Amino acid sequence: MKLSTRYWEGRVMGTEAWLGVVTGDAAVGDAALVRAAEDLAATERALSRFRESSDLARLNRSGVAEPAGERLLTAVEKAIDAYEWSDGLLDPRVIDPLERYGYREGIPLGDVGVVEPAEALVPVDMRGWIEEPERVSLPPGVRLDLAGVGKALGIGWAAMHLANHVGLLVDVGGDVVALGTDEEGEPWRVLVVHETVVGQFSGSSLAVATSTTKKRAWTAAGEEAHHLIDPRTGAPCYGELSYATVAAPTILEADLVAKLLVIEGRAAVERFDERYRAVLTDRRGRTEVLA
Amino acid sequence: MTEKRLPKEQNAPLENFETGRSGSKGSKKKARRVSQRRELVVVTLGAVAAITGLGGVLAANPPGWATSSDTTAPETSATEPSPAESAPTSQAPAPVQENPSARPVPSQAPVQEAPPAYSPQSRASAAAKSRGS
Repeated sequence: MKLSTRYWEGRVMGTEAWLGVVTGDAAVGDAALVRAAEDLAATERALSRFRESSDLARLNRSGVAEPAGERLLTAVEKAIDAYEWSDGLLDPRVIDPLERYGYREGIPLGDVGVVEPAEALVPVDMRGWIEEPERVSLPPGVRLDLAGVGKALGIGWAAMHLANHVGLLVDVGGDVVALGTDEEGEPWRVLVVHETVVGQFSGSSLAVATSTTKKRAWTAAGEEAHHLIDPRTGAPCYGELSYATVAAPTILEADLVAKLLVIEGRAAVERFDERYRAVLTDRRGRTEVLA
Repeated sequence: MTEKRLPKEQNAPLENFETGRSGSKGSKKKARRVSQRRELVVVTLGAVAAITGLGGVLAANPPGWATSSDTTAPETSATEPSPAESAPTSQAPAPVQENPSARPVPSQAPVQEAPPAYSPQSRASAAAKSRGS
């Protein structure tokens, strides 16, 4: 059986996406890619905070989603899981800080000037937000940003359509799931790019994500600002690391742990599962590998 | 957000479907192959669910397109890595969990028993780049 790599590429969730499937049946592979691409778009339609018609935007406006769509419900559940696991450092309530720093409809194109002093996000019990199996209810004034969790889940939902082929790869903005092999029967390889290529992961079962303060970044009164908010300060984090790439058992974990490393720094290693592997680059440009 | 694509393209022929040989993400590397069984190996739905962290409702109630029998673990073709790909740890075949629980994210059952191989060296062409966004 002759294998070929069929692929689709485009923009989704505000970033580049590449979906590939290694298959012996091009037509079947193409059909699977169409379904996968449609699924990614459906995730964006449900979970984008920038789309007024999205399930998430409606929840943020009204405070209630009932019945909550499956994608929204799952994303809220996972975000709460992540919040609790990280002791509050991965907080979905970061829209207000982001907007205070000028990140509203899109990344600010220039310096946003002086920003009002930020406030820490008060720890809360989020479990009560899911009141019934299909109802989400937010406290007054609370809005959620589910970008990271939503992207990871979206990758997973899209990848499900590409099962039953020899190999698949889903790359959304550098968060990558790769399973099986390429068309030559070789394990997939994922380059780790921290400004420049610093290494690569290879294998037949890869979930790799990178978090950085260098992308989706701008300035506020000349100071560095970016999209990764530290809930302890309510401001963009300014830690020791500028890049963290994590390979983990799942893409959800890879995405969340990478973000946590950038926010918390090397101290986040204490939370590591022994199956995680991280490639870190600090502000001085020094790269190290943690296992 | 989806300027180039859906829904306009979803029902139209996808002009950008190409074989990987002409795509930037196609792998070109050569390695000595030990196994010739790769044609028989497919990625299972369970493997996808495990590595993407999708469990709970989705795994218990897979959508219609995902209901085919899917109980075998993904096999991997044993290959001998080239020197440039040698890494300090070896990669183990991935055991499959068909129905991973919806426990807190970091507690989900593994799809990997060991971390993937990492090499500080790389080749110019690779399947993907993890770079942040």
